[in-house]
Amino acid sequence: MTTGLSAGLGLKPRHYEEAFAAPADGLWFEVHPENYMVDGGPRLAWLETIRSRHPLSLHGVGMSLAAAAEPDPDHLRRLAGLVDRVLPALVSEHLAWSSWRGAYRPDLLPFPRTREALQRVVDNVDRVQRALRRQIAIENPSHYLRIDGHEFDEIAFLTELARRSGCRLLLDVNNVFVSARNLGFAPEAYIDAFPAHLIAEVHLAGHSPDPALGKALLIDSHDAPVAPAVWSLYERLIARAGPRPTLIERDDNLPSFAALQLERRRAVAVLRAPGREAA
Amino acid sequence: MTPTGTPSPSPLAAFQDAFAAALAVPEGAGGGGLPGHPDLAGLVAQPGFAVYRNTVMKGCVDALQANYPSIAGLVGEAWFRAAAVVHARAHPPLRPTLLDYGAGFAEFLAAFEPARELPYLPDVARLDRCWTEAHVARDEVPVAAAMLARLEPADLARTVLRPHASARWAWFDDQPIRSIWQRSREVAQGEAVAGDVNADLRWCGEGVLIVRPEAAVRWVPLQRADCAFLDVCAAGGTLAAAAGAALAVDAQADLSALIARLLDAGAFGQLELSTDQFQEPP
Amino acid sequence: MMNRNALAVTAFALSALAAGAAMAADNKDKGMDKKGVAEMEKCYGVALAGKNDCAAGPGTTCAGTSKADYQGNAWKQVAKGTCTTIKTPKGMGSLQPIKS
Repeated sequence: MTTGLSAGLGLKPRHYEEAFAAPADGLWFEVHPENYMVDGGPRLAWLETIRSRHPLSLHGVGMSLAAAAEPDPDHLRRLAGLVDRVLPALVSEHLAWSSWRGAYRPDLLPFPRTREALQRVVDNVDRVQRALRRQIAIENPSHYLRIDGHEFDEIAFLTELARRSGCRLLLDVNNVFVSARNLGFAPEAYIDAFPAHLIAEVHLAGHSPDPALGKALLIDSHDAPVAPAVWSLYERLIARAGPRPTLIERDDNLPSFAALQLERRRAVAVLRAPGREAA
Repeated sequence: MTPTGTPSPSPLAAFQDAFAAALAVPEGAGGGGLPGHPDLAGLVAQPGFAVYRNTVMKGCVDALQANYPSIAGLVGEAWFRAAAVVHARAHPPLRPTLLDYGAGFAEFLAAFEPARELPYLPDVARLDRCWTEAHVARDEVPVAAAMLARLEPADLARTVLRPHASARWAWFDDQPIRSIWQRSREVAQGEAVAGDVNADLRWCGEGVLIVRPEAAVRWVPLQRADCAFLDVCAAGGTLAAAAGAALAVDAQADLSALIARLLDAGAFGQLELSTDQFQEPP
Repeated sequence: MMNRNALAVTAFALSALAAGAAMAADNKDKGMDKKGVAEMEKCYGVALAGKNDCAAGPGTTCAGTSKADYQGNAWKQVAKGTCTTIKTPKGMGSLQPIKS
């Protein structure tokens, strides 16, 4: 599948005007659809304005696919409305849960990867894809806890999820690095084992050491440039898998748009390195 | 928690019940008694559990602060964030769209003992909520004054002006809520320098219209008669009825200035002619 | 909320409304309500400057944090908000500490 997307940036309101004016050289923008599920107003107007020049990706944080419950029909309906409105090039969500028994917890919560959980997520992804009438990609979250009772490792779980639901995968390289440090596995092995043919999108972001525990606990804080070790893993991935639409995520300590463009160009350079075949 | 009498939850549901309950327990509040799942004590004991607990709480607090900047400015960030934690424990978000979060914060503040000496806080919070509602409301082209000006007097009497989709208005009998809110909001939005909010404060009733006729939310001071007028418009009443309601609360109300003020603000979204025959008053 | 009193509405009231509508239409012609365009630009400009006006709102992000920067018991002094300058008819109100 060729999307024509090169490297993209997370879209922040502070950068709306520069984002709109930026050269359309394969640049694309990603937003959390939850911030645009509104009836009208300047946010939606800006999103549509930017969409008129650049492709968009909707990256959901609230569908709670791994909850032992169906997705909230109202939330799904609003997502479908936004998808119809902006016709995004990519739609994605997380392998996590957040809404449970009527309350939403603004985080991506972990769970034991059991056969029961797999069936749940398969069913929920299927519901979302039917409602949106399109494929979505599912992202590997960052991990902070050792959980007993996993029946699958994460790659096996995601691969089986994609096989049974027809979804694709979003590989967050920074999340792999953070999880590898926190749980004690080799990030290179994870990157090498990830099924390349299922990758619809790649995420890169910065992390930070825990203020109390230091490097013993890394936080997926999105408040810093992409770390050198994460760039290395990314180059390793692209060398094996070929170019994939790649997003630089930044949510906190927001730098100038120019600084983000500079970081993005580094990803573009990796994607364009000689010998890389189009996906 | 599963209500008694229903089938016991699946292992995944039991895990989520227990994890959600553990998230809600403040750090250091004692570890005992986590319900439902035997493995959970081992998770809560890991340093990484605090990442989830803090991220959830910080998300709630950040969202409330973004939605209530005037309150945060009035009470200061430290007090606001401490109050927001108490609020989040009692009223977690119901939906992932955090723009909606904190709809009941005014009522929370009204009953919040540590804020008892600041009686204006709940109503100021209501205006922050109105701002958010106006900000995200359906887009609508406001009724142009020229449309109304062209109508014959008889038609004017049976005209119904529907308030703009984004229009929110309120009258406060006892306190200068608009002045307090406006000053704090403008400082929060970087439109005014911080200073003595009390400097130009006359302690009397005030009204306000918050509306977004185009891209930007704007606010206009209203008189009591204006609010009564808009209330009738919102209920689908004719201009005759609305004018009557305005004069009922203020016999001296200047109706020309009133309608001009509302039209200038973009307060109306639809103009209809009522099919009800206009009744001459007895 | 709604006042349903069938109060006498005089021809005077209606002509006052008509005059007001004409006045507002006139304002529009004279460009006195140019706020529309000006405010839109300002609104967009404010978004650019990163102020929390028309765009920022609460960020829903998938980033994590371990910082416990919200502990109520860290509250020591009367908070430095502008409420400290507001004098009500009952005097200066103050905030009480929050035990969380």
